[in-house]
Parts: sequence; structure tokens; C-alpha cells
Amino acid sequence: MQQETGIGPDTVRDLGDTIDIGALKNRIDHLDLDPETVERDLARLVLALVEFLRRLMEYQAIGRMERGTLTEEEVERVGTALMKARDTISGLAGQFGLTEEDLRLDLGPLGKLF
Amino acid sequence: MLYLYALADLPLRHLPEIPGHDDAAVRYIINGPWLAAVAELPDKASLKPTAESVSAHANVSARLMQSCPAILPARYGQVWSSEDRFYHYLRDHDEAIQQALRHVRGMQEFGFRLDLSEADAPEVAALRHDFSDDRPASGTAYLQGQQAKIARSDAATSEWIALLERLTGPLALRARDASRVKLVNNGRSAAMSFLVSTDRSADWKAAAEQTAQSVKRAFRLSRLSVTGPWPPYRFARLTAAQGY
Repeated sequence: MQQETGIGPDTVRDLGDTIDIGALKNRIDHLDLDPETVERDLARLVLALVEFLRRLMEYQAIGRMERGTLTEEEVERVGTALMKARDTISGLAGQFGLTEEDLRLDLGPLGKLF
Repeated sequence: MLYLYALADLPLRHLPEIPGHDDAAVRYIINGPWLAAVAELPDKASLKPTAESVSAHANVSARLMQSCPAILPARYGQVWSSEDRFYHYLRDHDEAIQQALRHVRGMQEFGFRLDLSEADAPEVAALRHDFSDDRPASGTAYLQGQQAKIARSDAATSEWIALLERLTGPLALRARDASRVKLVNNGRSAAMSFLVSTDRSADWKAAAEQTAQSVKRAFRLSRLSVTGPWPPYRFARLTAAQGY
């Protein structure tokens, strides 16, 4: 049993659930502006956001495919685009020495980006 | 601007002196058999959730829990533009507040959290590992593959949640109230809360030790934490301040 009394991680996490997301900016993995790493850190941030959006679009596309609101041609086209986008993001990440795990930014109490 | 920390039964002895935001003393508004622990804040900037301010907020409830038979901790950041509006809120919600206090009187909250290891749930983890050298023959095949992966992950998630709920069943039986499993951290962790009578907390803790062993056997590589006692954050059924 952790922490019989006082302030613990669960409590702070609970409280954090209600905190304005804007206030979390300082808790998000900060960018190290060391000239040696700035390129990689910026690439990490940009690729993380792009991959996040790609996954959102993929979920939406699968949902529409399940509901039958996409034609066969549209499914093929969207699927190809999403697959190529995945490969491109993966390739660019590799060029900067980044793994898929590196793109999962830690948003503090909100958890990982994806 | 009036900031609310908690509502509570009147303490059995004296009112504790507790520091709130920026070490300003918390003051009490007494309303019959219960009180509101509040502070006057100069502006919204004071609400900035720093480690210190969040700790100060949590500390008020933790201290009140030691003195008051029932406490309803407020979520962080509950404010009213004036004391008049706050009184108006209290008047309108008097019955609901008393009912909520009855629900948690003599109770403490315990937390149960499992941070799932990917090794314990490979089907769930597979959904997160999208970068691969797989080259489906077509866009349709790619989307169908992703669809199947989501379905497998959903099924595996339902399975491990059901298992966790079954394993923690004895804890729910010993509690007055229990939350359902809540997935947090993008499905990587499961959190549950139990409202336990202070009189039965020793019994509950003993059961928690046993349950923890069962959970550790079922989820060998995952991290389990049982925490408490806390003020009943998850069980404080307080209406929000909106509209006041």
C-alpha cells in the first residue's frame, strides 16, 4: 500500500483531469534547444503530430468503411494514401534516428499522444 | 473570486488551520451541520495548476479528512465570481450536498491501478506498433488489416478488463461503492476506486493484499499500485459550479 496519507500520484492525477490543457504545455516533453539536437527534436514533434493526425484519419476511414459510406474505389484510394503516409513518416523518423515509441509524446496526466 | 476546496461535516473538535493557495489560510463558511472550505483568490492567474497549487488543494482535503466525519473534495479549479453567488449555489444545492455527505460519511477512498505491460497484452500492444515492413498488396487490404487489428485489440481489452473486474470482485464486495474500471493513459492503464468504511479498512486492506497477489499472477509483467486512504474524490457527487 503506497502513501497512507497525504498527496499521492493518484490524487494529483485525478485533479489533473480537470486542468486546462493549455496549462499542460510545460509538462509535455520539452524541446531541447541544444544546437546538436534541435533538428531531431523538431522532427520528433512534427512527425508525432502528423502521425497522430494520420491515425485519426485512419480510424475515421475504417469507421466509414464499416458503415459502408465509402465506395470500393474510395476505400482503395484512402487505404493506399494512409499506407504510403505511414511508410513516409516511418522512413523520415528513421532518418532522424527516431522510433515509433519516440513519437508517442508524453502529455503528462493525459497520457501518451497515441 | 471564491475558490472551493471542499465541503465537509463540521469537525468533531476544532476547525483546523490549513494553508491553501500561496499559503493563505483557508477559511470556513458554516452552513448548519456542514461547512465549505474556501479561499479568496485575487484572479484567475492564481488558478494556474502548478505543483504547489495542486498540492495545496489536495492537502486541504487530506487535512479535513482527519477532522471531519464526511468530506466532499472539490475538483481543482472550482471558483465563484462572488461570495453572494456561492451562497446562492449552497442554498440551491443544500439537500444534494447533505445527501452526498451521507454517502461518504465515515468512508475513505482507495485506488487500484494497473499499468499494463505490453508483454501481458500483446494483442492490445499490436495496435500501437504500426511502423512495420508489411506491404499489403493494396490499399483495401491495408485498411482491412488495420480493421482486424483494432477488432483484436478491442476483444483483448474487453478480456483483460473483465479479468481484472473478476479479480477485484472481493474488494468491491467489501466496499460501500466501487467505480467501474476506467481506462486511462490511452488504454495503457486501468484505474478503479473503492469507497471503504473506515471501520472496515483493515479488512479491505487485507483483501487488497490477497487480490494484489492474484492480479500479479494474471498480469505478471504489469505494474500494480494500491493507494490510499484518500478523501473520496471519485465519490464526491458534487454539482459543478457552472451557472453560478
